[in-house]
Amino acid sequence: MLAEITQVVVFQSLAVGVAALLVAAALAALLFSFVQTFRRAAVLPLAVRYACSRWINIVSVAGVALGVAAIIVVMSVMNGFISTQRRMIRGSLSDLTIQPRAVPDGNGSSRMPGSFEEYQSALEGCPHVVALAPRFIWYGLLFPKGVLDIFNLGREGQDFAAKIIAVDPNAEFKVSEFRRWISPVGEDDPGLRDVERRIYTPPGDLDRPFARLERSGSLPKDALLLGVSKAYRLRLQKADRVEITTFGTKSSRENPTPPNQLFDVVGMFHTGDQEFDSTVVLITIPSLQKLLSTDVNFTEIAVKLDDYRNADAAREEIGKRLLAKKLIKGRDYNGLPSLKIEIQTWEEQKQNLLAAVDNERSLLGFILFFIVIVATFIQFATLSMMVNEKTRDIGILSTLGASWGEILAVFVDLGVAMSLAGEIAGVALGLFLARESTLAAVERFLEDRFGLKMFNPDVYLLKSLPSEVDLVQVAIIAGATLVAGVLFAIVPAVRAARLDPARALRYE
Amino acid sequence: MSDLPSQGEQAVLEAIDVHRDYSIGSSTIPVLKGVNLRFLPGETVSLVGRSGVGKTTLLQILGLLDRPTSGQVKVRGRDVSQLSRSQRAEVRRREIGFVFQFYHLIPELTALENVMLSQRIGEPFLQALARRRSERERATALLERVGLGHRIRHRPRQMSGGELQRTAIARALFAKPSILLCDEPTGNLDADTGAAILELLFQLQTENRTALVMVTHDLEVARRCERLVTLRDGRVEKEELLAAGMPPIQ
Ligand SMILES: Nc1ncnc2c1ncn2[C@@H]1O[C@H](COP(=O)(O)OP(=O)(O)OP(=O)(O)O)[C@@H](O)[C@H]1O
Ligand SMILES: [Mg+2]
Repeated sequence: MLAEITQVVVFQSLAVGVAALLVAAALAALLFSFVQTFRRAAVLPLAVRYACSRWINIVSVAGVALGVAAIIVVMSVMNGFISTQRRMIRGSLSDLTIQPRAVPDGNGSSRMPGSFEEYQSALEGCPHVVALAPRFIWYGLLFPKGVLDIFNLGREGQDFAAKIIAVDPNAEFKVSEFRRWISPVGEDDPGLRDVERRIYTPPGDLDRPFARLERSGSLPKDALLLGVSKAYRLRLQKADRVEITTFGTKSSRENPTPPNQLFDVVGMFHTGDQEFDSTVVLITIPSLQKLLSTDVNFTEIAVKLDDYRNADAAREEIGKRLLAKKLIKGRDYNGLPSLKIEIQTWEEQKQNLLAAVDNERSLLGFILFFIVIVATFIQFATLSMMVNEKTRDIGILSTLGASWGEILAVFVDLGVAMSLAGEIAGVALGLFLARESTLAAVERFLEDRFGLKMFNPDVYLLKSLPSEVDLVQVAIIAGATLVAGVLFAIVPAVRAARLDPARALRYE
Repeated sequence: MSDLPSQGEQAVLEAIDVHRDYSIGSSTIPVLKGVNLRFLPGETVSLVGRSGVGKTTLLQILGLLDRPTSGQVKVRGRDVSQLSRSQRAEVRRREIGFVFQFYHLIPELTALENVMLSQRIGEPFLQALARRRSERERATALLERVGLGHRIRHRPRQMSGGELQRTAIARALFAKPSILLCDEPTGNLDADTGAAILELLFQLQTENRTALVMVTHDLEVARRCERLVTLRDGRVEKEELLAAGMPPIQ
């Protein structure tokens, strides 16, 4: 294990070292040829003339341009995918979640270390904390009332299992995107299949999402919001009635019948997290308290921060305040002081999924850069050919008194000029193609003309190809391409500079 | 060893016991086996000898394009055979002009640019920029002087052999070298054009007081120089002083 880690570290530092060396070499060559270009008036005009004189140069410039454009487009689409994927993965999570560990209540059961209000007052005026919301999480079985083919549904047993999240809607609005989840589905809301987009029904009043339904015939029951995927799987619609059966908080000998209660489906929600939308039902905290006959009013607290980048500082501050009031334990599973068990950022809660996604991106970037290497290699070939072709010219330049530095600079400049031209064209093309509207147009064109379906909305749970241009990334791509261009120019340039003029001139 | 050039005047270019071997595989072939020559400012010398005797080789050594295997080359009394590559390039730039049988112009540049190139090489960018206009006028004047006033914007591809060689001569003289080395400058031209080119070469050489060293196969051409050097078997076989500018033999 340790050996493996050392191996990785050694490999990484080696790679970084080599990269740094290459960049340094490229910079040195650039600086050298820049100085030469400035000090020697013949360099630039020659480089420009050579660059413009042959059509094959256009091919290599186009090669670089296409490579750069391809990377920009693919990386942008990847960025788009990743950020929508992150939104999907994040689902219902707020910036931070406080999950205090329950303590024994002395009656053979357990209770939270304090009431939600105690936590609230402990965190009053806590820096970076903008809002708090209690959540009471429980599990149960959800049974649709009056569904005829119940035995067919029963085969997919897990659909009956429900994660019950009891919330305070007014607090919830302030800590999460609750309002978006219960609003009608927008074009760019990720994580939904087409059918789900169609069947989605919002609650009647977005400001009072848990308002009871007015029904003729029977009395209205407590309100329940259903994840859109769960609604689809259980064939449930707004105004349907469901029964929730669960286990009590008290020992079962005193309460022989499991707690159960009827609810009205007053609407649906869509967080974009498939897992969440297919398992969760939302009810109010009082509803759950009534169902369980308990006065516990939360099991975790969702925290909204002023800026997610302050998460670590906020955790420290929150931890300090809650520890002072003994509202959290502040220890990890080994009993060592740590806040990370009870206070987690959403990224920590979804660590595994996010790591996979981010890994995908770096892998793709790495693979794609090979396109540029290939394109730059074309440039290398072109320059080498040119040096061969210009052997005699190089000899002539020598007879006119050109130093090796001047000759080197002519070819480095040529490489840089071609690389820059390719990059500028490539970045322009890439930025144009990476626009969502362009992508959509291309997609439509391919579909209309050739019947090619590039993108299946149901597989990716997106309405259209997402794209997010990251200018820093574009700058890195351009910089790396330039470095590659310069490095590949150095070899033919040095060869040109080292040519023996006597030999170069001898043969016609 | 000849005592023909006057010993008092300082030679502009001098070869002292120059040897040059070429090695092919494991065997070495000696081409120059101890050449001694002195060239005075403004003097014209022709270099003759059988094909393969080493005339081009010698010219390249004299022009600092090649290093002798042993021996010295002195430019204005300074030994240049031990100088670095860049230092020799600098001497070449200041002191030496070349004219070749096959013109050797840069195909991407116009006649004017080819001529100006010899000045621009080694010149700082800003200085070249500042002097651009005057240099352009000087180059245009020189091209007019060689009879190419109407060709200054032409590319080498668009010019005849004679025109190319005139451009090459203008280029070689533009940076005002003190030595002009010509390797069969008329070798690729018909007799009339060759004669005209030669005429031009001598005129310009006299005007600029440039030393002229010319390799040729044509004895008539050779006889127009003040001095005739014959190479044989890797050495100077004989040096003859001719009446300067002897008219061609009828
Ligand atoms: N790079 C080289 N490697 C090996 N031998 C060479 C090389 N360059 C020239 N030689 C040999 O050196 C000898 C002299 O060549 P050089 O070109 O100097 O002759 P030259 O007198 O100019 O002949 P010509 O009148 O035909 O131009 C020739 O035998 C040639 O084969
Ligand atoms: Mg020769």
